Amino acid sequence: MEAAPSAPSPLVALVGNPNCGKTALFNVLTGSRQKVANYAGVTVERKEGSLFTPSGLKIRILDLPGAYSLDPLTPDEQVTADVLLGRRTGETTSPDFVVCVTDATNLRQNLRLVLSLKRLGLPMVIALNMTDIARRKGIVIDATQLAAELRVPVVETVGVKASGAVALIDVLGRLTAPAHPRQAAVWRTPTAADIAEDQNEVRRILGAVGGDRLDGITASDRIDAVVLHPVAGPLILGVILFLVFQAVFAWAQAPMDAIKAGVGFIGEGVNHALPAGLFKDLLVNGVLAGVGSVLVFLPQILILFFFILSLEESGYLPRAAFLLDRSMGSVGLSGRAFIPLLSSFACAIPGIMATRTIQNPRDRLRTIMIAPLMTCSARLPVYALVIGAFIPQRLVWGGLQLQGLVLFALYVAGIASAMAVAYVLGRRRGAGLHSLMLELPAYHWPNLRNLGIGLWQRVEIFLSRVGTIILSLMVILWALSSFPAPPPEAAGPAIQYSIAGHIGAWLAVIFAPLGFNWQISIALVPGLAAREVAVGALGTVYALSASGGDVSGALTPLIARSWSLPTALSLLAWYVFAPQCLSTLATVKRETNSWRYPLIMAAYLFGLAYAGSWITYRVASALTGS
Amino acid sequence: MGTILIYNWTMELVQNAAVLRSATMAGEAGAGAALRLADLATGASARVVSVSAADAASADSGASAGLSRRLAELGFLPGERLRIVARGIMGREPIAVRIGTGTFALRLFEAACIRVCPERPLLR
Repeated sequence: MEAAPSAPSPLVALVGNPNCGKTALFNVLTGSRQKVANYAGVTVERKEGSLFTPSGLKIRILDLPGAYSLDPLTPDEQVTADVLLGRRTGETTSPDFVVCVTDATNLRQNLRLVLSLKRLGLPMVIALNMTDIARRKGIVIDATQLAAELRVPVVETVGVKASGAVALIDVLGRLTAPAHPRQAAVWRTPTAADIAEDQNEVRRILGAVGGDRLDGITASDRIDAVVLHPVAGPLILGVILFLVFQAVFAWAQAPMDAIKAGVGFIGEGVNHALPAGLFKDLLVNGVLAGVGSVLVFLPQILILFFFILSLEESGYLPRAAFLLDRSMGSVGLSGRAFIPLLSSFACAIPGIMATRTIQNPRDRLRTIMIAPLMTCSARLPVYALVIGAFIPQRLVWGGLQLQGLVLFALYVAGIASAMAVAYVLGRRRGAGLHSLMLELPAYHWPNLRNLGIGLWQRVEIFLSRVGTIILSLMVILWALSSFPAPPPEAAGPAIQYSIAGHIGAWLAVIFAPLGFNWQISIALVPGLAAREVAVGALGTVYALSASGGDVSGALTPLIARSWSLPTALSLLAWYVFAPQCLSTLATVKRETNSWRYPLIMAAYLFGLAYAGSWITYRVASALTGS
Repeated sequence: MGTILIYNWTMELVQNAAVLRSATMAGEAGAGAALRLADLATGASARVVSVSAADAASADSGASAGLSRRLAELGFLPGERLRIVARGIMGREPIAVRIGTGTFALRLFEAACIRVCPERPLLR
C-alpha cells in the first residue's frame, strides 16, 4: 500500500488564523503520527505529521503557526511567512500544496488571509472548518459558491470529529508529488489601500455565499457577561486556579501510591534475583531508587497539564489574560505574558518559548526573566516530599486540606516574587506602551482527542527526560556516592567517605546558615541540572547512607526523622526561587541570543533563594525555639 | 526595512485622506460625529470611521505603522461594525471589542487609534 520509495512524499502546509481549529484538524489528519521539533535556528515549535490516503499515498503535513497576515509581527508569524515564501533556511523543501484552514463562523476575518495566500499563487484548497458550529449558529455558507467566487477549491471540515476531514483527505489523495521544485512565491506588503480593497472583496464574497451574523448576542457573549464581569470574573478565576491546585494533590494520590508500590515491587524482585555486588547496588540504589522517585510525580504533572490544556482549548485562557491585564500592566507586563507564565507552571522551557507571542521585545525579556519564578512541575516533587513529611494531613477552615493550602501558598509566593522582580526590572528599563491585541475566541467544549494527543506529548517529553538526563545523572550520582569505597574499619555510613560526601561536606559549609545538612547540599548539585532530580538524589544519598537495605519509598519518614521543621521550611523557600535548571538557562540563552541574560538570571535567582531561605530559617528557628 | 518605510509613507497618505474625509463628514454631520472607541459605553455598537496610529500617543513611528496595520489586519477597517463587549476589572482597559465576527482585547492606546460613529444595535 505504500508509495514507491523513489517518489518523494508531497509536503502539505496547514495555514490559518490563530483559533481557526487548525491544530484540531491536524490531529484528525495525522492522528498520533506526529513529530514535534523546532525550526532550525529558532525555537518555534515545528509540528509535522503524516497521512496515508485511501489510495496508499503518503503525505507529509506541516502544521504552520497561526498567523493573521503574511507580514509578521511575531517570530511565530515570521516562520509561517518564511515557509510559505520559501525563505526559510533549514527547511529542505517549501510546501507543495497549501490547505488554508478557515473558521466558518469567522469568515469575515479569515478571508483576508485567504486573499493574501491566493496572491502567492501556491496550489491551494480551502478547508471550511467548524461547519458544525456554524450550522448550530444558523450560519449556512454555500461552499460551491465560495469556491466559485474565490476560484479555489473549498471543502467542508469538522476538526473535532474523526470523520470530519474525509472530503479534505479525498482532495489530498489526488495530489501527486511535483516533478521539479516549485518556484518561490513573490510577496509584496500590502498598503492600507490594499487591505481596505481586500475587505471590500470580503464583504462582496460574504454577501454572495451566505455571509455571517453580525449583531446577535452569541452564547459566548452570555458567558463573557459573567466571566469578564468586573466582580464575578476575578472570583471565578481565583476559584478555578485554586481548584486546579487542590486537584493536583487530591486526585494524584492513588496513582502515585500505585507507582510507588510498583517500583518497590520491582526493587524487591531485583534484590532477590541478583547476587549481592556492585551491579545490583547500581540497579537498586542508583537506577530504581532514583528514577522511581521522579517517575512517581507523573500523575501530578498529567493532572496539571490536563487543566492547562482544557482551559486553553475551551478559550478561557485568553479571558484570564484579559482579567489580569490591568494588574499585570501595573508591574509592567503585558496581559499576553499570562499564557507564557501559566505554561511556566508546568515547565519554564515551554513558557519561555511561548513568550514569542509577545511583540514588544522588552516585555518579552521581562517575561522570560520572571518565568522561572513560576512554580514549575519539576519543583512539585520536592514540595510534595517535604510537605508530605512535615505538614500534618488534616482539614482546616471547614474542609480545606492543610497540605494543599501550603502548596497553594508556595505558588502564591512564587507569583508574588515574580511580580516584584518584574516591577523592579520595569523601573530600571522605563515603561513604554505595551501592545495587547489579544483575540478572545468563541468558547467551545474541549475536544477529548486533542486533549489526549496534547497530554501524550507531555508524557513523552517527561518520560524521555526521565530516561535520558535524569537516568544518567542518577547513575553519575550513584558513582560519586559509591566511590571511593569506605576503609574496612569505617564506622559511619559509606557515603561519607565517597567523592559526593566530600563535595557535600564542602557545600554544607556554604549552606549551613540556611539549615541545610550535607545530604541536602549534595542533592542540590544534581538539582541544578533538573530540579526534580534533587528528590531522586536525596533518595540515593539516604538509601546509600542508610545501614540496612531499606530503599523503597522510605524517604518521607526518613527525612521527617532527620530534618528539623525550620530546615524543611528553608528548603521549601529555597525551591520557590530554585536557582535554575541548566536546560532553562540554555533555553534563555537561545531565545535572547546572548549569555548576558542567563547569567543575570542565574545570579539573581541564587541571591533571592539564599536570602529567602536564610530569612525563613531564622524566623522559623526563632518561632519554634530551636 | 525599506518596505516598512514605504508602508509608513503610504499609510500616512491614506490616513491624511481619511482624516480629511472624516473632517468633511464631521463638518456635514455636525461636529463630534466621530468618537474615540474608548468613549463608547460597554455594550454600545458603532461603525469604524478611521484607523490611524497618528491618534495614538505612541512616539515611535515604526511601531505606530505596525500598530495601525495590525489593527487593519485584525479587521478594524473603515465601515466595519463593532461592539464593546467588556472592560477590564479596574477602570477602562483593556477593552474587549467585537469586530465583525471576532473579539479582540485592546489596550487604551490601541483603541485610541480607532475613531467610530455610534450606531443603534440592529438586534437585541
